[in-house]
Amino acid sequence: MSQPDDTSYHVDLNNCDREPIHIPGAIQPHGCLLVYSSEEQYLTGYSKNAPQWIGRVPKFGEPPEASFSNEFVDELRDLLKFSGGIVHHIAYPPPTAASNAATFTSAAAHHHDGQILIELERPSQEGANARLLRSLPLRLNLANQRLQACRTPDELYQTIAREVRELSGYDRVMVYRFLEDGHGAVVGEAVDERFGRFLGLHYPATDIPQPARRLYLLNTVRSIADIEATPADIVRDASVDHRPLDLSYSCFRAVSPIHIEYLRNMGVRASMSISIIDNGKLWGLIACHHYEPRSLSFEDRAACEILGITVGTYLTARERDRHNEIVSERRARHALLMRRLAAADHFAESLAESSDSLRELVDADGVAVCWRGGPTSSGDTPDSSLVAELATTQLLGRDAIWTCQSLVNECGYEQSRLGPSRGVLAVPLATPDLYGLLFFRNEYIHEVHWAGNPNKPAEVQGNGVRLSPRRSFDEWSETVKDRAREWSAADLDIADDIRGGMIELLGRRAAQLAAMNAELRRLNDDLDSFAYAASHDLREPLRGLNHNLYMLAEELKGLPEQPPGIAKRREAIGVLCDRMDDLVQGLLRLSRAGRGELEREELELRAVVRDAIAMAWNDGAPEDVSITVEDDAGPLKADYACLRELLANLLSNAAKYNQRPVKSIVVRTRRDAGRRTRMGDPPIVVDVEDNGVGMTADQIPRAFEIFRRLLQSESYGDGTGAGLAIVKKIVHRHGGEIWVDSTPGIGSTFRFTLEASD
Amino acid sequence: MAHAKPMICFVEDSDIDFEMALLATRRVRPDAEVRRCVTFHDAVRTLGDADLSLIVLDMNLPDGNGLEVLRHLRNLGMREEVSVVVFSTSANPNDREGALQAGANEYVQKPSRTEVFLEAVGTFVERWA
Repeated sequence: MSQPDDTSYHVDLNNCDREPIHIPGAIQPHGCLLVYSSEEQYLTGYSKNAPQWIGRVPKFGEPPEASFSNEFVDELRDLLKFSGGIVHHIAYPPPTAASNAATFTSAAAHHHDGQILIELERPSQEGANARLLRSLPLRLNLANQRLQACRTPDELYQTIAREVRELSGYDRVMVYRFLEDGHGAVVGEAVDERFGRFLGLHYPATDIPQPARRLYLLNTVRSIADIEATPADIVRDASVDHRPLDLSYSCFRAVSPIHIEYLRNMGVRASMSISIIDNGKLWGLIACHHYEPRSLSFEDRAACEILGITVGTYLTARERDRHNEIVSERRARHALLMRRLAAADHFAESLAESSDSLRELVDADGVAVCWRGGPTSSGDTPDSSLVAELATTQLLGRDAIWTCQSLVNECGYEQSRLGPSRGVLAVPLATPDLYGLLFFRNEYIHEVHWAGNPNKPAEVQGNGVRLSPRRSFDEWSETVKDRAREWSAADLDIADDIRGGMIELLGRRAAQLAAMNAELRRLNDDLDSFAYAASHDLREPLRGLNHNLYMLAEELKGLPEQPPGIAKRREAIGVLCDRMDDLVQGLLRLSRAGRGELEREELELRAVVRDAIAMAWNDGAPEDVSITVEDDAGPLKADYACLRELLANLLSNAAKYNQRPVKSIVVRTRRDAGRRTRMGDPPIVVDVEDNGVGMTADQIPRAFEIFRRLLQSESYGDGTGAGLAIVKKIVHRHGGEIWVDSTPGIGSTFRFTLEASD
Repeated sequence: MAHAKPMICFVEDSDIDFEMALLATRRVRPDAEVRRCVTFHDAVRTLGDADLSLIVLDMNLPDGNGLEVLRHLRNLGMREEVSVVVFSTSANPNDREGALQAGANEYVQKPSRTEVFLEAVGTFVERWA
């Protein structure tokens, strides 16, 4: 029983991305195919034209010896030792049993998927190329030298096309390069002068479907001898193997009807393509077209393949060199920039100053440095709301670089918000304060010349069911708008470097800051210790001074006559001693406010105010002072002794700097809805409001400095000037803030919180 | 516990402080016998066997800490009846606590103003001597 492989798979443009072109069930008729099972080595299939080649109808189950010489069969068995898919040239023609068969000088054999496939071919057509091929090594050597002499990529593309054309003899040889989105363009061409040029034309991605690209990687040289030749069906021994025969590695594999039609529409009769592979990826093709039937021998094809590999290496090495050149030049600038930033005192400022150098590193037109508080932009960028939106969507919580070539087409943003920007390169830094960098590129309007309108690749035929490839390859120009130039591999490499460098820099700065903070804290502690020791040690001589003054007064009492002026001097010294005592006490209290552990507990404001009043005035608040408490916001979480000290200072100040008959002080708590503590609640703010003399705007900042008294002591009684410094210290130790609203002649309101909030 | 004729010892290195303390003591207990030690060494030697009713200790002595003197005395088995007042410039709560823990009956901070100073001494002498 024999039957052709199932070729009824219906192919059109809707499914040609899934077309199983590796199992066409037929081969091109200029060759012949014999299939043996790898294990037992008996015949399991053959192309229908086999009798013309071996002189008889082959029988399923017969061994290869039935058609080939023993030496041939030995070599056939040898190839099983190698991995599948390697095509071996076997040169032992003619077969022993085929005296009346067509002559063939060449056979290629490979094994794949449990089958040995033998492909027979005729001797190569003697022609101009054959002469060249006789000295193939010299030919390749010459090609090599010519390629090496090329200076620019364009020159290299042209030279490749010319060399391959000389070697292969095709009418047209093109270097076709895959570009973004899978479409491609002819970047180099050598063509017989009778035909028009395709150089510079672009072809849509759909022209080369996915399965074809896969096979281009497996099988780097493919040729079609004559698109008009009727394929030779393969006859299979159905009792042995029901699977369709996989022709992935076959050189005569029949061609997809869609592709045949495509070539026919272009007027091409024969073709060959050589894959250019870079790093496992299809870089492009060397595409050869002929306007007459044409086939190359195994040797010719092998020569083209070697040249293809050679030029592929050249191309990719050249590109890598160029890439490396750009990258290393930019890296040097990047290193310089990072050193500058590392040495800067003000990181944010110097980053802003460096934004031009920064954007030049990735060849961008604008950059936005996205801080937690908002972006700072330089150069051409979209409007600030869009920058903020991109910072949130593409930087926050991201850890990989993201690019977009068209914010209009790919992300759907309104042109009106974009300004001149179209492309973006987002570099997230994932630090709490600096979210990352957004680089922008302006619109790049350019013309693309398509070989036919790429938007109409297919035409509906007849009853409208069958789609066919496009018929028109007339040049069709498209103006590309709303897109930026593509971000290159070099741009992405440098963006990665910038990301790494900035993260390292920020980490180092964070460590420096932590060390500086620790040092500051230590200095502060030292200062507190010093203030404590100083104030403590000052008290002893001061006490001695007081005692002696007292004794002096006692002794003066004993004298019969009071010397004039002595009593007055003694009194003056007494006042100075008291004043010094107050200062020393103030310093001592200030140092104590900064020492010791805070013991936070829930405190009723009313109770603490009561104790603070007792602290400020030994005998309770004076009669002309009225103190009211409104503690609606609930209890405060603070250290009792600290809060009492704080309130005592504010209350005594409020009463002291007040000339009204009734000195009114209100202590009030409220929640500040505009801010959040670490727990997420609005913080409690305590207001201490008085109707006193108030302060002018320029007095306020100095009010909290130690021993700074804004008003002359004569008018407002004694005071050390340590009071507000103590208040501020206590507030800060609690993590809170203190500020003051004041109007001269009306009064002041001191406001403070006792916990950290944003 | 008031003695018929109290004996009070001030361990005090400051002459003027001692002078004022003596003045204050005379005002409230003119009959009291008052002694003075200046150094740690002096204090340990004198206080061990004297028939004292009150010891007033300054914390900062030229050759040691007053609290050390106190601990030393209590370890030597000083009579329970002897009262101890620690009288010091320090306002540090730790010092106050330390003194009480070491066996002082009271801790009094030395006031800077002389009138207050005299009153403070008078008060604790009346209370403990």
